[in-house]
Amino acid sequence: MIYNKKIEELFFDTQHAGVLNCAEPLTVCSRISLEKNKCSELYIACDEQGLITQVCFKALGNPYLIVGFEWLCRKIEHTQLDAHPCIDYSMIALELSVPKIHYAAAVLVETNYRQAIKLLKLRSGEKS
Amino acid sequence: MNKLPIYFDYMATTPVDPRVIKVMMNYLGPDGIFGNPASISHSYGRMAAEAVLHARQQIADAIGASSSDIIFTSGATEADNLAILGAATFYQRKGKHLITMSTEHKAVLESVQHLEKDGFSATYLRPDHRGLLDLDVLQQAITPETILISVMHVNNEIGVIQDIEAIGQIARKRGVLFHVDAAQSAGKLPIDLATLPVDLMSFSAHKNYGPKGVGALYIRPKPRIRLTPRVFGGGHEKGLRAGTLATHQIVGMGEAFALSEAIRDKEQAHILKLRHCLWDGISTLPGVHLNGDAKKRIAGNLNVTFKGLDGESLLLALHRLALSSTSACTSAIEQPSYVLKAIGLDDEDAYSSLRISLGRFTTEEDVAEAIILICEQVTRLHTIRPLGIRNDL
Repeated sequence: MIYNKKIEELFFDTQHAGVLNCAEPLTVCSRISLEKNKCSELYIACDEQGLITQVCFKALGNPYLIVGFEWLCRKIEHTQLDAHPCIDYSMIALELSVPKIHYAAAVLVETNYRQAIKLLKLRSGEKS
Repeated sequence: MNKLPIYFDYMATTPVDPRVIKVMMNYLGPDGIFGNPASISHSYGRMAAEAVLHARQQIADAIGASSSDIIFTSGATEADNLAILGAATFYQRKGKHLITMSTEHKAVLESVQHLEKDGFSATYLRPDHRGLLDLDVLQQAITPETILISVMHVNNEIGVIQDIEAIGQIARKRGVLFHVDAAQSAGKLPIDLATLPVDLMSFSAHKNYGPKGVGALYIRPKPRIRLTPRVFGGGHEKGLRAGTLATHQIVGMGEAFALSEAIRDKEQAHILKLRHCLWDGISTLPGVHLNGDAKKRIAGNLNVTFKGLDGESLLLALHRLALSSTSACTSAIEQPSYVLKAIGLDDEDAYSSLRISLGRFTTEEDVAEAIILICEQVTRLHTIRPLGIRNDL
């Protein structure tokens, strides 16, 4: 498999691989497991003003999955929670030139993202 | 990303040895020996014919045979086809049952499958978890209708070595022809067809530091083995394989085989030392497992499962090493390696496995760099991997 330069750059520079402490008041984790051992976790934390302060991920899957999450984390960190969700799989696929047969990876990233944003908004609403 | 990766895919192909290239160059241009070896009415052809004869003898010497026992083909794939299809169709009046292993190269498997479509029956024996054939299982599989057994000497994915001496003895006692695909063993293991009970043996040049596009089939002369030809048009190679002989390639194969045989013991010992070093450097990583028998394996092969890691991510992470994943993940349908599945791996572990093969030009520095890279990247992928899944590393 030949990967484009962007994929390779992000793959080898995963600055957002990690976990956050979900015991913190405005920190959530969205976890999805699929068949064939594809699994991902997306952690998002925000402050009381709704600014997304930290985003981390863990992923088991092909390079498009890992890179999709890394790209997403870079995109949404330090943005306002109210602006989300605003990213879908087609944006991810276009941005990273994901081949059609690997769109499932982009879909998984989007699903995880939407789930995490929903959880965080609920948590944020409860707190206020 | 412009620097070439370090080559660790010697079981896919080998570079032509520079000493072989030097000899081959004499058989190409207008100042060289370019004649058609079949055109013996003039000097150009006769010189080419002599070169082919010399190469045939070199190969025969390397395998303990006579030069008249060797038929040149376009490679081991064609040699396998000729052996299996040729023998089966010639001897079909004696029976129509074939035995092979489920872990054979596709050249053997698809030849046998083709015969099944023509009314032959076949038994595909599974190996044990080490990749080796149980001789009792083979004995039980042979029937009065069995006319051919085909088992490869060294498996191209996991590098394990089958006991072809013992298999051949069984075949001989039961009056069954025995074919061996020796594409991965020539030049690496001793082969003496004067004593080995093998009737047909396929060889590849490009797996043994010779050129691509040429191979050979050994055919036992006594008792004489007959084959139905597959390629027609000129009666070359005693009517068994028509087509103008590629003198430069045949010369290259001869030189490659002679060279490998001359240095085989020392070279294989050196490669084994490098392999042990590489394995020692990576074996303590989490989830690492060696596929295939650890001892009955060719010096230059490691087939390793990196449990819990995605195969495509592994290959990209290790892109500075030229490796092979024997599972096909490039099409819409993923296909785990059938060899790894046959020795008991599940789909996930098969996808997480890589073949690392060392060879003549692998250096200690290459191995040291590979160890650093593999350790660094496997550890990195493990930190990206979610916690709490596949904890059974």
